[in-house]
Amino acid sequence: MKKNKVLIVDDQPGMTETLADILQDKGCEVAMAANGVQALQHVATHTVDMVLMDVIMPGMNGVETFRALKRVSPHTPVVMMTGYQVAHLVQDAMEEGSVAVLQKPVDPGLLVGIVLNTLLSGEA
Amino acid sequence: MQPSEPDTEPDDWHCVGATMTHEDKCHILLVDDQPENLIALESVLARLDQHLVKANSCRQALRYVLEQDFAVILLDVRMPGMDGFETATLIRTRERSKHVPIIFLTALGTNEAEMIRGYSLGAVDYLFKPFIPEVLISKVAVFVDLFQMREQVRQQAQDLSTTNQHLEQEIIERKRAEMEIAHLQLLTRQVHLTATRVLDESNTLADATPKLFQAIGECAGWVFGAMWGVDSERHLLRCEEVWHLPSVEASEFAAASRLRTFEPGSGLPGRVWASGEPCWISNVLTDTDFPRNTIAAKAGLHGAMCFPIRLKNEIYGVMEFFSHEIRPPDPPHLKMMAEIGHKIGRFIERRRAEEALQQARESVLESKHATMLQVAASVAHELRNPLGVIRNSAYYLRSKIHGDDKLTRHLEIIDQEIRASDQLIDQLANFHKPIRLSLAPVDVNAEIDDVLSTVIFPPAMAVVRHMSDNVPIAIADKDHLRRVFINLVRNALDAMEEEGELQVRTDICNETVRVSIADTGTGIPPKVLPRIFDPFFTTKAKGIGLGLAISKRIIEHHGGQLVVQSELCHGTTFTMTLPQAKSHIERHGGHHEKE
Repeated sequence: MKKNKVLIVDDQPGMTETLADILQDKGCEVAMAANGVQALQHVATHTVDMVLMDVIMPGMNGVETFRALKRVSPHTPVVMMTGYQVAHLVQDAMEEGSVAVLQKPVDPGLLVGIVLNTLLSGEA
Repeated sequence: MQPSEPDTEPDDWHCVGATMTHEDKCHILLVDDQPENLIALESVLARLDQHLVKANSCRQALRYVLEQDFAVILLDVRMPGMDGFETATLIRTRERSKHVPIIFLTALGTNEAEMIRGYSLGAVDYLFKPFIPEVLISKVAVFVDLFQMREQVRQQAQDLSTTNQHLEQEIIERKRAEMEIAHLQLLTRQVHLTATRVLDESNTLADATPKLFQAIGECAGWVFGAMWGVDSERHLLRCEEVWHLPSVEASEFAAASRLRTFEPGSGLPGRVWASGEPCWISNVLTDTDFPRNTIAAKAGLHGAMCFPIRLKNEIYGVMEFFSHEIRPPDPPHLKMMAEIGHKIGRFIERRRAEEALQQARESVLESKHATMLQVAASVAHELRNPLGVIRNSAYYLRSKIHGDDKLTRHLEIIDQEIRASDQLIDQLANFHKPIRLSLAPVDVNAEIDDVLSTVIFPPAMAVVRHMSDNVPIAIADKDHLRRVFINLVRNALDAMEEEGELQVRTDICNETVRVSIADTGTGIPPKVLPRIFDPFFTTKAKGIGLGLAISKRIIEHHGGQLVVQSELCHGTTFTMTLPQAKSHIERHGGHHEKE
């Protein structure tokens, strides 16, 4: 079964939109959420094969969202992106089983590679 | 011979005697071979209250004349053996008695020829026996008066000469005193000048103190000095510094002073502190309140002088000086020292004010820099996200425009500029973060050559390398060090524009690796020079002014220094020092982390 459903969580519309276009171009089915609550709502009602999530967001931050998400869907791989060196958040995320933490500025080519690899390895 | 009659004594005679002291009495020589005559003369002349010397022969008379000055000699003419005339002749031949008046005593009826002979021998008068007492006294009294007047004149002459001598002595002494005052004034000026010069040339009192000790000690003859500072917390005087002439052995006294404290009012320093007035002790060994007297005795110190260092509202401390010799109080000297104390006080106040001003300036500048860096860092962070979005868009576009070279080139330009912007953002965002160094031995020559090989130099520019043969191996973080080299080489190129000479020099100096990068460019104006390491300070049209600030931070994190020398129109030299890898282990050992 081909896994290609990616949820992008970022409070910056430009970021979600450009990433969505890039990933759609690579054959992904992309959904977007502007914050943690939206992301959790989406996961609760849709199938999601992987999540790309910004760490710093207003309201629930990325790591908090990540924890909540793990409770709902413990096997969904999550890649975190952070522009700041938020050492404790990043460490928390790594310890709690996120697939990768990418340091912004994220090279789009590298991101595409990681996403495709993650989706592939998730296929049974 | 007539018996004396005190009742008939005229007042005049009495007066002569009354004005005489015992020492003023003169001698009268009476010469007669008849004892009863001598007694008679004596009894009459006793009224004159003079020393009467009796001789019963010419021989005896001559002996007395040798021993004693006489006011008058009464000489009997007729005597057995040598008569009066012969005696008179002998008396006259002697220097001492040449002019002593002689009155011959002779019987009435002496013939004229004999009398003339007597006068020719120096007689001044004759008295005829038997005497009329009043005549006798009257005649003798004349000579006594004469003698006394002569004595008085002689005495006055002597007094005058003594007075003269005194006057001369006084003049000499006054001159000496004047010279001493002049000398003291000179000394005062000298001590003042030296102290002023020392203070002008010093930055802190600690710098000035040893030189002040020396100046005051050497100019004013003190051999040991101590500086006492007020410990305002514990309200004590504490010894901050001691000094002594190199030839003086006073280590025990110095050590004892260093260990001591004084409360206000106790000991010499405490008294001066409490009173605020200078103090002089001629001899500390006999002073009632000098606790260090036993050790002072061992060091042979006696005289002491102490003056306060006064600030406007407080006493900063006191300065204490000692001499070997017992030194009587010298008020002008003490006054001069008190003035020096005032001067030192003013110096401290001035330096404190300057320091406060400098600190205020620095803290304003520092907080200004901190604010700027903070603002810069947050702006940089905010720029990362839009930049990321632009990067994504460019990536997406590139995947859509296969074959269109022009559009592809433009997307490349966008990527290039995004990368440059990212670097700038990194610089701004990371400047205030701690620098993490990964230390290892670095061959400085090799790294510089490598950096130079990556730089494209204008054709008219020469690169001159003076690399140390003794390969300088520094303990450094290679990447950070390369960044510094690149910054400095770029600055040098910017300063020279198209032509000039870049000089790179490495050597080992005082166990540090020294690297200098010099240009022959325009130089940096002296006004600007102190600010070039400030963040955001730049004279270039391009750049944000962090290169030198970062370079300095990096080198200082290595425990080294980065300094600049510049001369307008001649060029600028940056010199850095780095810790040298000393041992084999360090050169080949593992990496050291340093934050």
